[in-house]
Amino acid sequence: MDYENAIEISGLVKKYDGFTLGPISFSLPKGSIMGFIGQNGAGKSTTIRSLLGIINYDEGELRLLGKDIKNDKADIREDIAAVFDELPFNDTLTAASLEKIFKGVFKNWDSDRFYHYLERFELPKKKKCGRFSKGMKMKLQIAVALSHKAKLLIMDEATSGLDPVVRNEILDIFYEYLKDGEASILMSSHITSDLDKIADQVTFIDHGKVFLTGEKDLILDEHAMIKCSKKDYFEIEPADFISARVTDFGVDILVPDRAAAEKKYPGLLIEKVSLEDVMLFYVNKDKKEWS
Amino acid sequence: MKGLMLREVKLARKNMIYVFSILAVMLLVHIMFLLSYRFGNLSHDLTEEQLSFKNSIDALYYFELMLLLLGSASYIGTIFNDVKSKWMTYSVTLPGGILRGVKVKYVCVLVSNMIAACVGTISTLVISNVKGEPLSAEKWTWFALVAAIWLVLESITLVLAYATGSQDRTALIWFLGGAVIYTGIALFAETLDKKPELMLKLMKLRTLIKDYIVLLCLAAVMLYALSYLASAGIMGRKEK
Repeated sequence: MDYENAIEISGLVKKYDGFTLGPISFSLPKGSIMGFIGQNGAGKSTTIRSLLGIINYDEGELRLLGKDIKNDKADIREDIAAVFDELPFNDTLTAASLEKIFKGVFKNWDSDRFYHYLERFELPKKKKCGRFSKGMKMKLQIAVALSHKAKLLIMDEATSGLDPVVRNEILDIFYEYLKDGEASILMSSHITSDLDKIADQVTFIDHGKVFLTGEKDLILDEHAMIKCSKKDYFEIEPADFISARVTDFGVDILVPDRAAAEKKYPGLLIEKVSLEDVMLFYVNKDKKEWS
Repeated sequence: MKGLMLREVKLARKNMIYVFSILAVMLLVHIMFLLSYRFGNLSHDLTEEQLSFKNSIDALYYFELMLLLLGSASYIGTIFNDVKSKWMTYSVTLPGGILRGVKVKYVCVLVSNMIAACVGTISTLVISNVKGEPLSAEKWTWFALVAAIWLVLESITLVLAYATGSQDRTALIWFLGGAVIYTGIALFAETLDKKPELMLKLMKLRTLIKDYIVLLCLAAVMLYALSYLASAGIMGRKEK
């Protein structure tokens, strides 16, 4: 399949009573992993559910693996894997029975790979999955998702609620999955530390609108945090920053242009930012000043 | 499709095993009584009480039929679990999407009905042989009618299950519908007592059913096909 972007969203709109998603647009280049970041209720799941065809969207054009999801008749679902925050398999089924089931569902199902993941994740084959812990359930879902050679993995809050050890283990698997440059991952999460580690693209969403999207390193390099006293804070022009967190100890100010800030405010301490900083300060953009 | 069918069978398997085990026990008890009535101590002149008991034993046959049909209901019950376990949502992302899942469900229910019909036929033949009574055409007619009515009920239940996605709501609709039908039948029976000419018409209806049983069965199959189209339409539009 020849395509540049694994995901292309253009002008997506979904209207609910009391909430409107979009119009939002972003794309995920082939071979990369995108962190889709936003607080609860920001519209991450709605976007992902629209992409997967779970909900009907009102406007926009969505392309997965280069194909229009509404008009293209070719079934792209063979090449897509979805992972949700809850295990969608019946509690009475075992990993061994899931293997038999999915062998009959996906043309490219690889049983050896599935059993390899089961061993690697130390998942029992004969135990009913309803008796699995949350971490085990998530690992099982990921084992299924990675065993049919999908070219695009879409994960909706899949790592939330997992302990750091399990999350780390899963992130390692994703690195391996992306190695050949053919596979891509869209991973929605509000745990930005995971995405700090693994993502090479990020998209931030808040109140149904995308406020920042692009290469993670570029975004982190461009933005910066000015740490100063309250007195210095009043010297900074509001147009130069996104928002400022005022505490008893001083003020943290997120600026969108590090180079310009360094030039304009040479005496102030300017530090690197994390994805969490970017999210927090943009979410409070309208308030401008918060604590 | 093979994988999804396997999943359906795995999920309904436990209930099916229960149903067939109970059926086997009931059939065995039934046959033992029938043998006793034919060759054993109950084969002589029966008292009124014993005769009444024999009729009750004969009625076991209808319970067995109902039990068989209930087996196929196991597949319908899994729809609610699929909604609860989010499988319904997940299946949208699988090849063939949700519509393949709906198709598989209808095929499984139909296959299960066919198995029930086969087992029903075999048990009917066994019972009639044990009784030493040849099977009347009338018995086959009622057998076919029960199967057709069951298929109609399943057709409605499947659409309701897909439309509501809730066991409680589906049961409530059936309860209300059942109450209306029961009231209608009760009122009709009351009228029947007052107007004997209606009874004659009813007898005619009985003859009509016998004459057109094949058509009635075909109509039930048609309704099942329509039910599939309706469920597919509902699930195609519904947000999961």
